[in-house]
Amino acid sequence: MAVRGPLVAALFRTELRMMLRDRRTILLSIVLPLAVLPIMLFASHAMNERRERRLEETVYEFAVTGPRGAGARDLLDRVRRHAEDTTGGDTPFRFREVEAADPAQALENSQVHFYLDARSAAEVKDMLERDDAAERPAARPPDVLVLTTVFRADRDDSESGASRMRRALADTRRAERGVILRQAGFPLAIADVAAVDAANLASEGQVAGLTLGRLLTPLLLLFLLSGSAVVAIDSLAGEKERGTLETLLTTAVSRAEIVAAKHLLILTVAVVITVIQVANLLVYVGFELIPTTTNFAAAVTPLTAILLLLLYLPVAGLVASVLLLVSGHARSYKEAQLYFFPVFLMGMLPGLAAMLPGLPLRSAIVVVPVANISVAVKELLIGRPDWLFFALAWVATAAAAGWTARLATRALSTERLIAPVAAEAAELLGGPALFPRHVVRWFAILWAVTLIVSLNLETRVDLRVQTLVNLVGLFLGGSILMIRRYRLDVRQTLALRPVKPAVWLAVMVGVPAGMLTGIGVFRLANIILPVPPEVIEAFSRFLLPESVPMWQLLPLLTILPGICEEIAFRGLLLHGLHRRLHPAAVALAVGLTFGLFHVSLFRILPTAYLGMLFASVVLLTGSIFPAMAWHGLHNGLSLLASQSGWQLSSLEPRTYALAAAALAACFWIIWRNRTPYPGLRPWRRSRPA
Amino acid sequence: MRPWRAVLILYRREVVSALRERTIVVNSILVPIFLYPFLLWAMFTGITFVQGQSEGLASRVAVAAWPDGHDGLAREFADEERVRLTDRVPAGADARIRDGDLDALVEFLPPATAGLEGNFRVRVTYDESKERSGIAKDRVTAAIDRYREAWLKREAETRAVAPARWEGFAIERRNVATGRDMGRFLLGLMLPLFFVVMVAIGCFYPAVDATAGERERGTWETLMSVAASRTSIVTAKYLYVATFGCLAGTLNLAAVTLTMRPVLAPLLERTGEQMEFSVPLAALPVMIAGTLLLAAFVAAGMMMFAAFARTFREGQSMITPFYLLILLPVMFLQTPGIQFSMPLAFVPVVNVTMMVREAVTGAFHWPQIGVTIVVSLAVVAACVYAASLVLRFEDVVMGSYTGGLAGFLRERVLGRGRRPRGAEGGA
Amino acid sequence: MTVTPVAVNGLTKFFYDESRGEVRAVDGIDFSCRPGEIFGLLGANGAGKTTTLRMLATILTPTSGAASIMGFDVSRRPEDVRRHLGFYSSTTALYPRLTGRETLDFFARINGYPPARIPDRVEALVDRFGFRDYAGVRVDKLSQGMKQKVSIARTVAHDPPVLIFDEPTVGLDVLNALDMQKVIGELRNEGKTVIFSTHIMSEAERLCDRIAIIHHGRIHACDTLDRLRASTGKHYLEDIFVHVVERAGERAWP
Repeated sequence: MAVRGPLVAALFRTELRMMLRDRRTILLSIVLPLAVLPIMLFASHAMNERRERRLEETVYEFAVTGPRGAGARDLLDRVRRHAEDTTGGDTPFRFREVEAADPAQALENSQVHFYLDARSAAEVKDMLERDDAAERPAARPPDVLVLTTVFRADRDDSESGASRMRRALADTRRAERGVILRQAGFPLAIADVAAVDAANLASEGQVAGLTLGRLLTPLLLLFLLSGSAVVAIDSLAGEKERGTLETLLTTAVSRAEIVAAKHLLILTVAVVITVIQVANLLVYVGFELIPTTTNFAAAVTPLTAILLLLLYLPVAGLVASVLLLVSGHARSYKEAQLYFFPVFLMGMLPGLAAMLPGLPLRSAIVVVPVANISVAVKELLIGRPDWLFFALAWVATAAAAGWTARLATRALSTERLIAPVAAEAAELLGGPALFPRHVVRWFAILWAVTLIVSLNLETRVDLRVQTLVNLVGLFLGGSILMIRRYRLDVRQTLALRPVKPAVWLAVMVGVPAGMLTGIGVFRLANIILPVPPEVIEAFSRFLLPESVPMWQLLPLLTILPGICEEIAFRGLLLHGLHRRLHPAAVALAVGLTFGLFHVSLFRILPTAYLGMLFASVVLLTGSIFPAMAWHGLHNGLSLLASQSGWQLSSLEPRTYALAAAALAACFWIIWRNRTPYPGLRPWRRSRPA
Repeated sequence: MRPWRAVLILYRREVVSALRERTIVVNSILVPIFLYPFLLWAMFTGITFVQGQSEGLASRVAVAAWPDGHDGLAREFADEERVRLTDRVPAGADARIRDGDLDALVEFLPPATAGLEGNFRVRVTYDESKERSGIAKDRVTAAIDRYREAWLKREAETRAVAPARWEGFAIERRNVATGRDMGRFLLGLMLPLFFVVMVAIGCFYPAVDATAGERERGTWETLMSVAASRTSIVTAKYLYVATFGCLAGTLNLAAVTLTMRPVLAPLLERTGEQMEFSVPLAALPVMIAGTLLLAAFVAAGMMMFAAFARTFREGQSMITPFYLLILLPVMFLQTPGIQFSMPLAFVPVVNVTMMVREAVTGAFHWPQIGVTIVVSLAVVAACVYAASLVLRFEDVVMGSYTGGLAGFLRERVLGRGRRPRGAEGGA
Repeated sequence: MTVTPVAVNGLTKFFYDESRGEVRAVDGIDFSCRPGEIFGLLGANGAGKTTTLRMLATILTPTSGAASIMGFDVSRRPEDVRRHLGFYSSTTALYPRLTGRETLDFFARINGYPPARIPDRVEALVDRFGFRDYAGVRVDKLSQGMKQKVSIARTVAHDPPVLIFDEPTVGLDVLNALDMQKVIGELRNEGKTVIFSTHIMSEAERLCDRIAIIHHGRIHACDTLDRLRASTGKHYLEDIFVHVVERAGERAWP
């Protein structure tokens, strides 16, 4: 597939010309948001300034209560004098006592900002014991005055006043202790005892670089994605709608050349956005139109700016490729916009890598596109350029951009996506033919309901009710609903077919093998990119409440999920997707969806892995029964493991390797005895022209 | 046919069509329900993760020669489990710190002022541009501070200072805001921006769909040929857009309120705060009123801007400035401690947002609420009137006007520029 | 030795539909065309005309069979095919923000017309199709008839020997449709090979040198109008069409 320069240039020039003639879109979708950012930054900064100043200047009103009120007032006098002494008369003691018969009520009514409750330590202890409070009183001499600042944290000024008072009190106490020591013959001031001198090796620019480095990439990604999206969506999806894409496809240029020209166009827009945005921020910060506490300008020299631009080039390329890919898969402008939203959210994620503390570029992160540049930029700005790894990161991201562009080219050859779509019979007939189109929708709704139900039930009912509601109510119930709505044939949809006997043998081997392999893979991944230990534990751990007897737990956690979850995911969902996607993609999708239904972050991956395993079994055997058995047995084994306290995540590497081999053997047996799921997509692939 | 009956029939058709349009269902119903809870969850999970990472990382600290007579100091460091002392001080420690191999170097030096036996000065060398190094320095300083406190207390004891005198007084804090108050406070902080954005998103696609979408599909003329008056048609469309804006706003408020607690729970567990997220019953009417008013205003504004669009794309880009316009004032409201003062009650969008926010936290300033309602209704009426003026021009209604809102204002209202074209231009 | 402009052998296209399974849009089509001929594909909607033509234009890939344009195989040398082909369909639109002249320049260039000769070629086309008055106006400001002219001009901008017109008169008013037919006739007279698909009988009658009747993805008759009249015994093309289709239907049922 040759890409001829002059043709690409001609295409690019024409596309550019057309884009520049649509001034309205350019102004409103690209330039305007860029201009808005400084205003937003300025606004939030201004508001914060105002708030700080207000809190500084307020004179806080408080009341004093409690049996030791007199002692408290004496103390406050000393505090005021101390404040005046240390600032030479210009009193920062912005507190004023107010008379209040019922201080608690006064606080409630905002008549005071806070109040002081003065008691002796012994009285505090009595009070806590009387109120049967959970907190244990601190060990103190019984006569000591305890001053409690009572405030309301949901009120800005109350919280601020109380904390300022506490600070003033602490300052005074420190000073008084110094005096006490002096009077007792202590030769030094407190500040000279074990004085700490912090020597900062970093320059001002480097410190500023840290902050800037964390923020720059996410901000840039935000503008790149939203700004270039307008052009990208129009350039493929919009053209499809208008019919001009078809015209282009009948000319002598190859698909690759078309994609290359459009890619160049989007890249141009992306680069322009990058340059404007970087310049924007620097101008505003440099001229202190947006006052900042750290000196950002010190972090960025002209050389650094050029290096930044170079580093961000492949990011712009990758963004352009991804947007083109999304646009290529959509058949209209609106559809492309719909896809854009989740892409946008996902795209922002890698940019946040710079915010992870202690993640150096010299680690596995260097192969993750965009995330690697994010970390590289941070390292550049703090003055620790690691040139070799910068180059590696650049290459990795550029390679990702190229590969994605190739995928986009393939989208232009996929006929389903090029040809205008005539009304399909499925819509007219309804019933089973409509189910594949709606299945994703249904599962999305089911997911939402599951999420809301489980989040709200979690703390209120016990495990048994929760499980029953989830499994029987939601999964089983939802499945039955779908079957009835679309008049699906139960046997076909749920793949209720017999399998060859050898498959059962394979399942018996597969259950322990699959479990151990999963754990092993996870531990392997842990070496490259460290993951919190909770994730690994989640594989072999079950949350078991002590109060539930085993004879109830067993069916609840093994048989019931084995039936209900399989029916829902490997039955309904798999059936709905099996014609639309490539078999491997089906297994992946079903697995991931299954994982997503287990909402806690650390259980998603292990569950997804299992889901893919089960889905593969169903696809290979055309029957749901082996998967049901596997699922139930797996859960049972996990249960057994945690009851018996087996440490499955700290076995020797040899054991995991053995398990992987056993798993492979299991699948080999299944493959040899396969009775594939009917109606799967063939493995053909068409070559792009 | 009586006008309201016509409006109802048209309105029903618009809504039913819209519910079958994937884009509108996603943007006006699904996104409000899922987006913010999802974002909140992602953000807080991320924060928890990052915090866990940074706290979990042990600080690598090198100590050069402990000072004599301070065995307790070494113990203080050893007790701090997140500090890992290296065996000896490596050569070129400064360079190692700069490279990130070492987090901090602690040196005990002779004191600046003499007089106290066993006194020392501590120099902590670190690199502020490395997160781990900064954390290490904080941990080291904290350990030394603790040691110093204990040392001073011992000195006081040996000098026969009474314990009670040394204690002086104790400082405690007590927050009497209930979990519900805290929850409402947090909700009140986050709600304004969410709320306005959601109503705007909810109105956006229906507004474009009702104007440019019709033209694109070619059903505009079909619509113009029915037995209802033009005003009825436009009113029906307006009500339809406002309905979806309202729907989006309400769904979002509900979703955020319902999912706040479970989403924030992990984060709150660590801080030990108790928070409940519920909205006072009395706030519901105010919130509903606020949503209605905001949706009414946003719908009117968006439709006016989009009235000139002939394709979906044009419609989108024409509405964007209005969208940004209403978001900007709300950005200013993100800080806590802003009061719903009377001047604010006269600013559209801001007044409704403040009204809803205060209702959520249980505060009701009736005079301001009254002014808000009046001002909002007035603004909506003004928009509707402006829209009706626009619609008097045949070519705009028929969709053959080829300019935008700005051009229209310039030509027709100010009377400059090109003459109005006939119906055939640029079909 | 001259190259056959269009040669189609056993061309087949199966689609895979989610709900219906395999759909045979084109089921073994054979035909060939000579230079200076208008070859008509006549059939109802969904008969397979559009799919066939799109395969020839390399927009779709055949499931099996072979087709060649000017000797270049559509599967193996698609770009060469497209360089020698001009494709016109009611769904292939013009770029709204380019002027007429820019459109012609772009398509000539992109289809490999010698760059040095493009300016002259563009002017020649502008004159021939008579839109000198609005050649510098943006396409989205043109009326339907004007757009049609620019569209045809861009189809032949690179002077291809083979032209495909897929239902070109759909949506045109009477006068514009007649204009279109006149132009197609002129192109044939210049020695171009034109494949012309339609479901309007009168057009086919008037224009085509040979007519192929296509139904359910197969060609059931392919001959000149006179010989079709002789073999079926009918006079009007409409009747001939119905006759052929019914006969095909009988054969399909064993």
